[in-house]
Amino acid sequence: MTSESSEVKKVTLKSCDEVEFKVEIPVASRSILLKNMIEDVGETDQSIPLPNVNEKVLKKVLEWCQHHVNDPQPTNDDDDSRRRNTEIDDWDQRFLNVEQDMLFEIILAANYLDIKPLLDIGCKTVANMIKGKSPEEIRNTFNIVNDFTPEEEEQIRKENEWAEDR
Amino acid sequence: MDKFDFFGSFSSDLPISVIPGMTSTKKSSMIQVSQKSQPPTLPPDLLIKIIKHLPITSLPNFACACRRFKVLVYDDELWEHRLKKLGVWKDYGNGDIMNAPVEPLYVNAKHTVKGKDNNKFNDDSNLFEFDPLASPPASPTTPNNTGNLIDFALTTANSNSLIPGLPLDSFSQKSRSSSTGIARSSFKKIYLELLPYYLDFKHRRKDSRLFKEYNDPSDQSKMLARLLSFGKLNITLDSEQINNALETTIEYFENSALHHFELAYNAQNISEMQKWATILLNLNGGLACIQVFIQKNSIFFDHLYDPMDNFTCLSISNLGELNYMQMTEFFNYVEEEIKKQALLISQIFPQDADVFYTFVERVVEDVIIEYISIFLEESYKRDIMLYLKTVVAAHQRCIHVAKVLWKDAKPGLTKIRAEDLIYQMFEPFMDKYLKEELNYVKIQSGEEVEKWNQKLINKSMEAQQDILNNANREVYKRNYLTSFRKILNLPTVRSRHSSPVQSSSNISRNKRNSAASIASSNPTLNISDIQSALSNAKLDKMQQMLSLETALQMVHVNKDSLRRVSSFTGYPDKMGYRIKETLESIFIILLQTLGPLHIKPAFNTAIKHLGDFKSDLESTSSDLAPLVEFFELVHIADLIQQMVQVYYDEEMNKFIDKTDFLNNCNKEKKIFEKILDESVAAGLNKGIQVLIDHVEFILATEQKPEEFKPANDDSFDLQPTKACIDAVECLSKHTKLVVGCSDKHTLDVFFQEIGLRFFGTITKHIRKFTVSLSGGFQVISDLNHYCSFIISLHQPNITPYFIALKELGNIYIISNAHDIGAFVREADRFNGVLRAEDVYEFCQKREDWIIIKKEVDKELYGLKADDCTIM
Repeated sequence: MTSESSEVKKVTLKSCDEVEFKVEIPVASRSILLKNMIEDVGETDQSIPLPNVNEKVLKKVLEWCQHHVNDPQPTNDDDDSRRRNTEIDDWDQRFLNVEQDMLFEIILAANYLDIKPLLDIGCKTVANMIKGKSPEEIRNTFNIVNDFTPEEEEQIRKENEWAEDR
Repeated sequence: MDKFDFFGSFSSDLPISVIPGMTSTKKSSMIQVSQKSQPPTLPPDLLIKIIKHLPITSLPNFACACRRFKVLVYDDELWEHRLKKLGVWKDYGNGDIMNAPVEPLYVNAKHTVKGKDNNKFNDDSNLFEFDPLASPPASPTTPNNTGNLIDFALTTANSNSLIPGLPLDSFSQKSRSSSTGIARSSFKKIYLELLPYYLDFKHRRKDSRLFKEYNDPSDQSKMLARLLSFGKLNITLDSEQINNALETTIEYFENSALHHFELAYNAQNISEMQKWATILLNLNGGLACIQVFIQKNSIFFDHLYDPMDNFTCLSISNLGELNYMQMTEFFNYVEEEIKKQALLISQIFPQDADVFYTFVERVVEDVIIEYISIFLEESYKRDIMLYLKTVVAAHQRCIHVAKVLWKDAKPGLTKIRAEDLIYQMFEPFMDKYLKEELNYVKIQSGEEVEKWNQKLINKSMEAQQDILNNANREVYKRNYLTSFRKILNLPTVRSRHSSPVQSSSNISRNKRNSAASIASSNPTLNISDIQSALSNAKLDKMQQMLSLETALQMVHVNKDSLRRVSSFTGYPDKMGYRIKETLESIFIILLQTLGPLHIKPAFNTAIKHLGDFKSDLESTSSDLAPLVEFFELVHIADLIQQMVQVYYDEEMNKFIDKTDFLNNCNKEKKIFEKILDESVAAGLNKGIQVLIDHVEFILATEQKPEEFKPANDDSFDLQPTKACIDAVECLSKHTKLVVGCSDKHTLDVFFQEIGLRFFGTITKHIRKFTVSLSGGFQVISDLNHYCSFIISLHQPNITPYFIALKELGNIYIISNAHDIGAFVREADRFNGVLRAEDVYEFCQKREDWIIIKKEVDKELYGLKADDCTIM
């Protein structure tokens, strides 16, 4: 462990439930938030607290970061090209094959930590879950209570008729 | 497992009292929910992100799921984003509410209050012109009036406080509730229009609906382009496939259109070309079309101009001069072609496609650069001088091309763009050129010095004769400088008219010819002019150490370089700065070669000659060869310095700020002048030594003892003695030589020094002789002569010394010993120049000193020596 740490510098991250993770800097730098923080602060022994992320989620997110450590940094302008291709690679698909609340937690964490690619595949996964489903199916999938009156629902359906698949 | 409500649908389940008939039926449940520990929800921004990944066809069901989703699906941001993708939405600063126009918000707010007044809103929404392609902007009306009302209520009246995660402060962020629905409805319009054609591509048929309904290829291309960007919006679940089919079709369409365009090009059918170019531009920006158009131009593969042709002329004229006829022809051809193409392009392509610029860029890159680089390379191989001239000529032609681009070509480029293009093109050549130019000047200047040094060695040193008197020298120097200035100026006239257009202007050509016969293209001509002037004035003797000719040559080489480089001064940015630097360096090279390498060694030799000089009997002729030589040298150096000054004033002044004392040129010029001054000062110092030594020698050899102690008292005519006259003559002659050759301050110091030393010499000299009473008159007349000479120098600091000396002469003609004592004591007489002891010493030189000594001492000390002994 000590010999390893001499090779690649590490930072300590602390989840909201006070669990510490020692992470290699390149891995942590997948998060733009952490990357900027490390660059600003420089080397420090102090752990970085992440009050918005719990141990379980942080572990999962770091797993993703570890796997994607050598990916090129995303650029800002590929927003559209990313959306266009709805494909998610196999590893990521398996990675995100988790319970729904976990998926949301990952999205939230990715948003908070500013990990664009992860946030993106998370959103895509959710979008894929919505695609082609009826309103009732969507409500069931995401445990949503229908807060429309039937007239209202009919009204909305009518308003959006033009966009429906045919 | 109890699922969290990440979408926050529970909390959004709030009573919306504004909506008629929707007053809360679930108030109690709401309270219950809010008491529950709040689970984390996905914020609206993330939900929007997710929605953006959804195909359009999935949106209706998503919106139906719950109230919160509906607000998000109806959100302006989402639809504005899509409209932007289609290129039909004006961006109000990233949808920032603060930058959005005021009217919709205002209308919106009003509408929220008065629920019924929706017609007003509809009217107002027509104010927006955001869809140039589709028909007038759709208003968010639906046929059903009551439904419309609800629609509005849902989109607008849901204030932020009703939905968790939405910002309460409408000014802090984009407020979701501000959605106007305008973007959505206008998207709907486009969607409904395009969708049938789009979906039609699902079935890969040759004659899709689009081609059936639109016959005009121009309309087809527009539709295809719209469909392509439409397809990118993630319309349906299988949009990938449709897009592929669409792209294949577009490719096919493009190829056939390109083919038509090429056919039209070959036939030079402008209207056809224009038609197909427009189609292709509409389809996908027309890059391929522009490419084809440019590539087909014959200028790129088929012009007959070979840069090497320039050199065939060279071998005929064989003067190391190119007339650049071939190059001129080449550029004329290029310019003609550019003008022609400018017209053609303006007819075929729309202005904003900027095809002309692309074309010119290609011409510059593929034709002009190629031509110039071969040309320059070849001339570099042949002769460096040739190369330097060629660069300048080529550059001038290129600048002319730039002028053609923004002036003659119609419609052309803007001046700045055209010039930038050309400057950018020429910049790669500049590095080498500037380096070579500097090198050339350095080598040439070095060679000149070397040549001169060689000549010096070969030249047998002849005796010095024929020295001009002062007046003549002044005239000569003035004449010389005038002709120098003239020569400097003449080429300026020429260069002013030697712009590339000169061929068109007869007047300038004439001027050029007349100027060229005298001027810079053949610098030796000028020099021979000056040389003849030199020999007329019989001044070549002056040039024993320093050569005006050498200096002149150097200035010429320098000036030519400067001229060449200065033609590049238009360069912007960094290169412009470098060119200015090079200009300065060229001038500095002149100073550095002329100063340390030419003037300094000359002075060193002269000073050495001075040091070696020993007065002997033969040279008593009052001419000191080395001293004269030195003074002449000072004059030449002065002339050279003035020449440099003229050069600096005439040429460098254009480029540098004279008053900028930090400027390198000015600094170097100061250094140059300092070297000169120091050399002169060192030489003068030595000169004084030699001069005074010589005067002493004259006095010592010529002054006979009997002159101050004549045997018979009757013979004095009160003329100065010969020694005195010779000494003064020697001094005055040499001091006159020096007048005007250095600045006044140096001269003042020089004269004062001479005066002081001369004073010392005379006092020493006189004390060597015994003076009789009648000889005293002789002494006085000598002293008077010295004094009048000194007064003629106009040095108020030293005249008192000689007036004191004159006064002192009286001591020899006082007969009364008593009076002598009184005279010696009266120190005031001598203005403090001579002390009583000094006077006493002179007094001792009286012939009758032994007789009068007692008397004088008594008078001086108040008692006699005898008195003491008696006691």
